[in-house]
Amino acid sequence: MRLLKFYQSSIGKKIVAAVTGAILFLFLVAHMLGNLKIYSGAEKIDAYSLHLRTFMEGFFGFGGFLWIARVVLLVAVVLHITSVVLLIRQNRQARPIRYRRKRRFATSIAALSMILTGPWILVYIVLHILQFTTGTLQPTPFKETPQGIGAVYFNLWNAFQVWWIAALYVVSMAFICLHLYHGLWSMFQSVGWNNPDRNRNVRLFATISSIALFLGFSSVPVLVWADVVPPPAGQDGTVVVEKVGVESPALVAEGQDSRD
Amino acid sequence: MKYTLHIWRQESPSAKGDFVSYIVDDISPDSSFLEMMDLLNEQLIAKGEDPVTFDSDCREGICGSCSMVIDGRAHGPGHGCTTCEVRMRSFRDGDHIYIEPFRSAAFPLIKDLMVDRSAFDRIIESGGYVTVHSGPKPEPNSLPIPHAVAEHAMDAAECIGCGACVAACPNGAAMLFTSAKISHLGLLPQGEPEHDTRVVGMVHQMEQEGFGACTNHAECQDACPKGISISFISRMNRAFAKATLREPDQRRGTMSNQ
Repeated sequence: MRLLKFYQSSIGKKIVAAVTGAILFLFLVAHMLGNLKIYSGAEKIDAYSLHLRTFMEGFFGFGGFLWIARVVLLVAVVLHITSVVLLIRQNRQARPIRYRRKRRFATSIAALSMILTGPWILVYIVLHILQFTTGTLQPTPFKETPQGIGAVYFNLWNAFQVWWIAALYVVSMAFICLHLYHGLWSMFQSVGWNNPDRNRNVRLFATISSIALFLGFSSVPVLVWADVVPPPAGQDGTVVVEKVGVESPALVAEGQDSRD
Repeated sequence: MKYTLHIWRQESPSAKGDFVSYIVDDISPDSSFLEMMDLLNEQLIAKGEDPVTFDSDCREGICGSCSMVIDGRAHGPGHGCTTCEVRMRSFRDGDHIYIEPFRSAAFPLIKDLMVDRSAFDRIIESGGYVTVHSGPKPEPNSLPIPHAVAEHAMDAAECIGCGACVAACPNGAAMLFTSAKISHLGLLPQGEPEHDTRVVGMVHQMEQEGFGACTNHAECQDACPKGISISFISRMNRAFAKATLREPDQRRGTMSNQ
């Protein structure tokens, strides 16, 4: 009842959007740190991917912990979008007749583009999961390990050989970070933790975090495409289940050709 | 100075409105915006036309009556001033000036540039008061208030309720007004007894009136003639969450152990 009263108000919806946004931000930080393991080599990042499934395996079973995290994230995404859509509807109704001369004085491009970056991020997340988690979309060679999970290094390396996939990822990261530039500051304002005396630090936190996430995330597609990251050893000893019916070295070579 | 004015004219709340252009000439750069409007109206009356209806009262920036959006800015050019404080020297000779009413679903238009802002009064009625005892006048210094707290409350109390925050907000939200009114009482010990019911009541009424929600653009703070800070919105959000989620509704009464 109390929760309902809270959520009925636009302030309640804003706070829900802020808290779920914070959860999604923390996930992004963890995801980015995981991605950076690509620079430690194929074994490290593939072992990390397996570790996510075996973490607390004794209690949750194989992949159990990961599924709990996925459910939490899914609920956060659904609540985040639902709250914001309801707020947008309220805001549209609040000004039925628009101004002939419309000018902005205080706001930022990031704040004004939230409504565009948000849907883009949603579409990107769906495509990203279909490409790397489920392997439903396979524009490039895709392998699975004997445990039935994606061979991270191999899949990433092959995907980012294609210039437009790498470019799409970099652009999407720019949009996510533009969203965060406003969102991370907004989050403190919405829950009431912002004050004139700490606003500078909150603003700095949002700016640094969004730029750091952008650099961390987009370094992977850029450096893979630029051949700074070495190709995966096709015969690196680990038995891999071929999902595509073509020999992988041939495809690797083909991928390089098409890029040139 | 000569200006071309494009003014929103609307006969009645239900009538269809549109921009009508007028040319005003021989305007002193030191005249105020409203004096320029008065001159236009005198010309219109002389020609037998209907003068432009607009709100104004004190004409010294403290009453909060004037309510125009001039060239896309609530109250017109400049910071920390109402329309009556805008001088015509802020415009260049020959400028085209667009004059629109405050646009909000909660501020129904009455005529031309005049809107009905009684939604603000109803928000105040829903909690913008304090309990005072009606006996003999208390000793003024019996309730010590730290200077910083008094100043902070005064910053919020500067709100003149003009509605520029609503007009400037991309979402037509009344968060700055409501939060200022909540804070200037809530920060002081005199406002403590009704602190939670005030926040819940005023926020509820604000939503009922059809105002929008905050997306933290800070346009309201920029347009506010009194420079009220959006930190009061942050404060209101926290107070609202506490009042609705944490504070007990009812802790009186007996309890059964079986």
